[in-house]
Amino acid sequence: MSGTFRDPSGSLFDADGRILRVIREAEAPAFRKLLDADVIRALVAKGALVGTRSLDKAGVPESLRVLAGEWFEHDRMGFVSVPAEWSAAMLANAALHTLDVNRELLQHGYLLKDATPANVLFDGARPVFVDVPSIEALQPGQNLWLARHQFETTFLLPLLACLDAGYPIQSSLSDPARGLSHEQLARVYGSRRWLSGDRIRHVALVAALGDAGGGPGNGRASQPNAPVGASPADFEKTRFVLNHSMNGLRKAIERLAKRIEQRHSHWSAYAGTRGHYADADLKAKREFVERVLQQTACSWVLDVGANTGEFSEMAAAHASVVGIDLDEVSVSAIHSRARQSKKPIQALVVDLSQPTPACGWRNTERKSFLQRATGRFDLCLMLAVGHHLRVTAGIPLEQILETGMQLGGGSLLFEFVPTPDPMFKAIARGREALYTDNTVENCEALLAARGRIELQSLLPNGRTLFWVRAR
Amino acid sequence: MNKQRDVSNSRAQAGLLAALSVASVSPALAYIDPGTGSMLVQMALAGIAGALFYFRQLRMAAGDWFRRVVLRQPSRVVAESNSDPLP
Repeated sequence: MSGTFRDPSGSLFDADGRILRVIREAEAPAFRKLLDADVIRALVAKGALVGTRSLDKAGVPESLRVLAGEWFEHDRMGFVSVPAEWSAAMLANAALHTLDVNRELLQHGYLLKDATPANVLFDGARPVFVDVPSIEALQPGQNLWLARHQFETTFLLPLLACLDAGYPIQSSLSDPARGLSHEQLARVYGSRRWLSGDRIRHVALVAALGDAGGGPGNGRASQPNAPVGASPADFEKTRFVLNHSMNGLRKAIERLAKRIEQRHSHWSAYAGTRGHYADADLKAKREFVERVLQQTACSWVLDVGANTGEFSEMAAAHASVVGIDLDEVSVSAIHSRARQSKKPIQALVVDLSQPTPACGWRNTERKSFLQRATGRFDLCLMLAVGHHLRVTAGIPLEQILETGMQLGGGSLLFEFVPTPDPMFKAIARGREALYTDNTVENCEALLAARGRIELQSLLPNGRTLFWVRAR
Repeated sequence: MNKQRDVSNSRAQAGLLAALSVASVSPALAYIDPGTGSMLVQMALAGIAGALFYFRQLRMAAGDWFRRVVLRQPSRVVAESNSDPLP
């Protein structure tokens, strides 16, 4: 079993569903003391920090007991997402959460030693800080937050690039520990990098001064020496300076969060423009979905092609939901609404025809979307998305249905869109004859071969809804 | 072109570090790269914030002196304790 290796203080393992962490002997006493601190207990109690408890060696699987160190167990998060799957709203949310946690820690004499989106996971739309060993005791005179650079390259700059240049978060956070460098973004902006306070402070100046390139001070993480006999006044000054530094970051993120709310795209405005659904169609579709949700005792639902999130929200009344869509602006809107309404919806930017691959060192550090999704869900919704997978992505109908059944743990709610449908014709653009497998009879036969069709309904607009369950 | 930029970058870094380093420095055990450019900008901001802090302390001390001596009211400054309130 392989664990994480980037943090020198220990490793994290996923041992058959249990999240176990081993901390080196030398650092274990400080870690245990940390877990007992009031501020840590308070953060865990309000759900801002993941629950962690000491573990006896007897509770550790045999294959891991050989590792030296002390063991701890973390609460397991329902669905792990990687930062490359996050929308801008989710990244901004995680950024503010990291700063909130850091500010709270700072008040009580602690600080984060690193700051990357990989340290945050989501419970629905609620961010939870999970990298507990990242918390270290504050030294007086430590007037620089060493993790600020990482915070900028992994939170702030990817957000700026997404909003100003349409550069996808999927690209800037492919390595969530490294992110997007100041030089790269400075090149994207060109001379416009000198045209706003945020850009000057956070991109132009830093890029101008060089970044891990040649020069004195490179590679040395320098701090001024702590004054001898540090007094409370020294701590107060340190806290003042660090808070001042973080407030600047916070204000920049808040300005970006406001811009994120105001965006719209072709897909996020979809609900208002879909003339191909009459009221009768929508009513029938909603009733069908509601019937399926009530009849099936599901606890986790995957909504593929969530778009405005209408059906994710319907499912959230019955289960925890992960909604995926390839349009980042739509996903941001679903996330913002779920956050405000506190519904258990985790909205992610995933294109099912090309889902997030396994990444990192030897492609094992971060699992692929399909690996993480397998076995998690007990219902998969594929509403008004089948034809996009069939035409735009070119995936055969049989494979779409097969994948939907697998992701839904054997339970699939599929909306079949026939070839004469106006939306199908719009995306097929005269090449309808290619899609010979796209008939309702074929769809029904393929589904019947994979399970029992529990419910079937023909909508007034010619689309057919199927609910199928594996026998 | 790149070589010229590298040389002028390292000169800028050297100059700024010389100007900003007022105390002896010791390496800290951070395993992530703190980024030279980011650190320099942060050091400049920390210098400004430090100055703001001292100005604020000076202002509070002056206000307290005025309150005690001129207005003859009790001091509002809590006596500094020597015990470390932090872990």
